[in-house]
Amino acid sequence: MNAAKMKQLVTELKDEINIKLHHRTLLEYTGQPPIWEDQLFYLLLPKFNGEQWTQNHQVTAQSVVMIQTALTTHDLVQEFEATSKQQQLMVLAGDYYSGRYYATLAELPNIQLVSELSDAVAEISENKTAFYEPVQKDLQQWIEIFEVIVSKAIESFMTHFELKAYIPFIQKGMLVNRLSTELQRFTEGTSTVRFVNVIAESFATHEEAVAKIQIELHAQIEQFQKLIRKTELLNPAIKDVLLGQMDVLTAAQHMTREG
Amino acid sequence: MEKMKLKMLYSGMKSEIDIIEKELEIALNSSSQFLNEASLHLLKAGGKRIRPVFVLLSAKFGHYDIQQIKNVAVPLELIHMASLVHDDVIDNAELRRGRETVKAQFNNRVAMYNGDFIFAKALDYMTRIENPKAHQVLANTMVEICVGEIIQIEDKMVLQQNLRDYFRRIKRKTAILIASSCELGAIASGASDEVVLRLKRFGYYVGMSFQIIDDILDFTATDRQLGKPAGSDLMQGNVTLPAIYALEDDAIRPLIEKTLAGPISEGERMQLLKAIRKSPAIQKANALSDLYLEKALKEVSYLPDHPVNKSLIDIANFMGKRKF
Repeated sequence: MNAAKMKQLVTELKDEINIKLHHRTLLEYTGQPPIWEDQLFYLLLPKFNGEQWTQNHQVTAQSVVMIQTALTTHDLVQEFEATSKQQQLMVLAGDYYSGRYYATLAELPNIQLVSELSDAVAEISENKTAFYEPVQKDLQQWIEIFEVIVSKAIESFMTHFELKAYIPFIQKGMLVNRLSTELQRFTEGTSTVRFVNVIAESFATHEEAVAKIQIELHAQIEQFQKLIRKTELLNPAIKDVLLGQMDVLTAAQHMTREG
Repeated sequence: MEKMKLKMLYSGMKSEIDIIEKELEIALNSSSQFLNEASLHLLKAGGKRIRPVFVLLSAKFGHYDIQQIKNVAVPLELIHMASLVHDDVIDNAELRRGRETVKAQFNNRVAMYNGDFIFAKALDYMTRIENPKAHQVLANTMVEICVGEIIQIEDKMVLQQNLRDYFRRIKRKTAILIASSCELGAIASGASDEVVLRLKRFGYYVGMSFQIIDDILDFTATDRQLGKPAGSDLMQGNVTLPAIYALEDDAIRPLIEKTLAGPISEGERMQLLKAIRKSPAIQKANALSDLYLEKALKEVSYLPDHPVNKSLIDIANFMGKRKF
């Protein structure tokens, strides 16, 4: 499967989810559901790699994205004074997407996965709350927390379908993508989750914190590149796409550092 | 007084309700300090536990096993709790039942995560029930509750509302979760399809009556009884049944319009409350609540003869006649 075909399948999955999450009022006030594109790619990774992929896999994958999107939507509720109509509907949009996720799995039915994803959602919520708690953690510990937030739901999917071999790629790949996005949002002042802000509080200046995270991100990218080159699990076309994505991230990091 | 009445109504189920309370505590236990504090706060605030009680009572029409039925009763209460935590963000509410809300205690974001955590725990409990039909009912209920709340926001500040708009809203906002509590209790215990349907209808009618009374009490109860300022619904832009009726009165209409345009002074709030309390609006709303209550009681008469029927009637009457 070539890169163009992978992109097409990602788009198709996204379209299917957008149809299932469609609600006229929510669309008008809160916009399209905040779906992470990289999550779609990593969910489809086994399919790209030639693993058996039935309609059951496809619909279940939709449900994983739905619940992650529900949680991401709630990150868009402002910490204080969420009183506008848009903000009120943002609360309900997350709950609506969450209900649609459950309805999708109940319809299949796949009750076992509801249980597994419930554990993941509880853990993700606990980890997101950790950003507000008065606890001291070092950079590495915060990154571990962030990794759970980013990839726990999709890990449940892979474990459920006995596709565990893909988990290390998903964990690392999604971590670097999201880390890079959050870093960029922090420098632009558009952060949603408190992740980088919390880390920044333990450094003398924001610049110092950003520099430390950039070093960590660079190290994570290098580790991921090594993992991709070394593995025999993934086919060459996927390796090329992933390495290409890492090149783009590295270039973006250089530009941020220089700019 | 009302709490005493409720305690008496539940007296035959004390040991089962204690099991549910204990399970709620276990379900809400978290490794997060803030989520634990928030959950403890919610549990201490109490509540009528109407939803789990209806699950338990409805389950008596089938093979009743509390160890199995608690897996339906607990999630129903958890879903109700989670939606309250999120509702307080939507309403920007600082107080609920006289206590600080989770969003006031921490912030909106922590309240969102707290609600998501509780929803997840609810579904986790529910998965101990293997019947797919039960999950489809609950999932549909969760979606419908959200749709109801979205409609409520769309209808905010809108004076041109009729009874149909109001019923459409409260059906989804409140009645459906009570209907589902009855329906799911019956499904989980393997009751017959006819009984499942009757109990679902009973719950729906009780839920409609309950919400109408809730909307009346927002005007007629004291700030202290409510744990928040009386008239809050209207001040937040929600035009409920008593207000829809009161709008027909030319003397009250300008007061309602002013309240919606807000903010109003304390004197204006008192004037509004006094006017609505004295108007026929409250009486008319009560009459509608009674109609739903009658329909609920009629459904009980179609159920098989069972000692639990009396409890269903007593609790329905309590909910439809309560003073706060």
